[in-house]
Amino acid sequence: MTKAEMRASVKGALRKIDSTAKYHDRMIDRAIEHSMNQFMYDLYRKDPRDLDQYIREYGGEVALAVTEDVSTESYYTDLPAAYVVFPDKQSGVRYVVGHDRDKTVLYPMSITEMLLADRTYLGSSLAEDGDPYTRSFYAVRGSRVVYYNTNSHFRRAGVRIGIVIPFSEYADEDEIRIPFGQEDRTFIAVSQKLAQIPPAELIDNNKDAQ
Amino acid sequence: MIAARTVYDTCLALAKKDQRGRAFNIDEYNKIAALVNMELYNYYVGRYESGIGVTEALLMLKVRNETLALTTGQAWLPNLADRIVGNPTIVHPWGPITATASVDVVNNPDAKVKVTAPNHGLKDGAVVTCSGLSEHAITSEPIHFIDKNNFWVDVDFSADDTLTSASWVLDDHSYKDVDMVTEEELSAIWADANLRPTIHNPVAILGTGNRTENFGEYFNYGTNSFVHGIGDFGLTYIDGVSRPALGFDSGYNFFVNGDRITIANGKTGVGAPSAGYNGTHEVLVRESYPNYVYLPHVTYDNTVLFAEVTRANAKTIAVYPTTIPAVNVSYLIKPATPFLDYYVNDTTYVITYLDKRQELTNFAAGNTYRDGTAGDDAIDIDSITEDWQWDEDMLPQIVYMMLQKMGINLENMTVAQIATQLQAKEESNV
Repeated sequence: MTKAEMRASVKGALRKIDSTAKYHDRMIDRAIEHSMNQFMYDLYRKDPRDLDQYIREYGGEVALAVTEDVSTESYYTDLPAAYVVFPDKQSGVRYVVGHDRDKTVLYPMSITEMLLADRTYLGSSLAEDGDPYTRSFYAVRGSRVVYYNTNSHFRRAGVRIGIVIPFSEYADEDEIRIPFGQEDRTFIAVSQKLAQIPPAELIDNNKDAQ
Repeated sequence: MIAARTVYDTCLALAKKDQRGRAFNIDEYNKIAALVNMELYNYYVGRYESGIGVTEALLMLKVRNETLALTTGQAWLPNLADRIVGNPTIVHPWGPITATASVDVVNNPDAKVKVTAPNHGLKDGAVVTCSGLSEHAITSEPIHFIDKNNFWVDVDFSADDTLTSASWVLDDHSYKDVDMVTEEELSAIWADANLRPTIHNPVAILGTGNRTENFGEYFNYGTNSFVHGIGDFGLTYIDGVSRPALGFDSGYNFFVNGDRITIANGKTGVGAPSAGYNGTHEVLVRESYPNYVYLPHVTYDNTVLFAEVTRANAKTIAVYPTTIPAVNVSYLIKPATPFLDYYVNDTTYVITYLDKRQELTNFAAGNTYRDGTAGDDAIDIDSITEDWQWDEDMLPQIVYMMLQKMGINLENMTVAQIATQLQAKEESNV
């Protein structure tokens, strides 16, 4: 079912109060998003790997740029979309992979860990043959991911990022994947939520204006 | 369309009156016809689209899906528009382009065009056509999603584009309704982060404004060029006196009968001031000649060839967000006011009806036109007869409504009562 079809199904099932009291599309979208987020969280609690089904990858064809923050001498990428927040280090940013030759896969880290790691040799060691062996990390900070221990190849090439996006980020024609048997649950939760909204007072008498 | 003469003759026959008794003369008929016409219109408008019968009754007065170009979100409603029916619509999905740039695509040797289109809401692979770009032709190209504000297309980047009202539209586009809101709703949704107008949730509101346009033309020696307006001044005869006629270019007339027109800044053909028409005047618009506006109380002045004309309180539609370039509206127009024009033979007193748009060239001596103009074998008369702008099957209802008023006019309550009963019977068939 596409996002537009899902919205239309909910709208069609709501009680028609009168011809002027309308349910606004954005309000319906918000209600669906809240239910979907709850559903994603349940999935996460069961097994975080199940979220892979709901990841949208950004930066596949056009790499996302890695930018330097001169004031803190750190590197970051602005996230191209909002994400669903989960209570672990990655939150909704489930993976970050470099477009460099090695296809560097970064490890998640919390912001606090990254602050502490700045004073250590974490991520740098020598392999058995004596070559440098490095690991790179990322932490999710607001609308950015910040990096730790990356090399210049990685930064020049840019990254691709997998994000669990909320309902509002989907295009109207995008397919919304709801696991088998869960459609009813989402649909009923949304309908119940919206049905509780009383009709707006539409008499244009400025009575509620102060 | 029902001929004006048919209604008049049927009414006379039913009331057992004729012209000679002048019991119910044509002038009285014309006055009552205007009233009945609006009564009938209001009756059906009040029940608009409550059933196919009502819809069909108003079909002749309905204009569907007219596209109005918006300037910073605003357009003048067509001058004849009385009521907007249904919600206005816009092409959807559609959106503005705010920038283009070169973009490197992984594993592709050529740089492509990146299009920045805030909140485009497009799915990867959606096929779009872009307009307003100076360098690149993007026609029916599938998009490659970058993020919610950007996509790229498989067109090699050549040079920076200059944008002129640049926008994209989905090839397989549909339409989206524009929510008509009240002033109170609009003020509330501006402040609501969820409900404020976006290109995906546009709103519209009706208003009025003073519409001013250039009319006629003159040569401006300052710029060494002609200044053109939306029509030309001309001459007409009203009640035998020469009066100004404003001939609008087809579809540009924005006045209706009974409006007031304010004319200012009158000029001659070479730009010298000519104040002959300056001021505010009543206008006459004949439904038969909708592109002409006549000024029945102004003296004709052949030196005025250009002026600014203003219609006060012209209806507007404002659409938000104001980046939307066009809106489609459907509306009802008021039915033309029926009128039966005629002349009288001075000897026999026989009345001759005039048909719609009939022209009496060299109006014969021995006859007198309705307004008192005497025939002299030279003057030309244009009929202003207007037929009833309703379907043939509405004739009984119109006649019964006319008879009702006619009964009052003739102080014959029996006619009025019977007509009322018959009218109720007709209405129950709708």
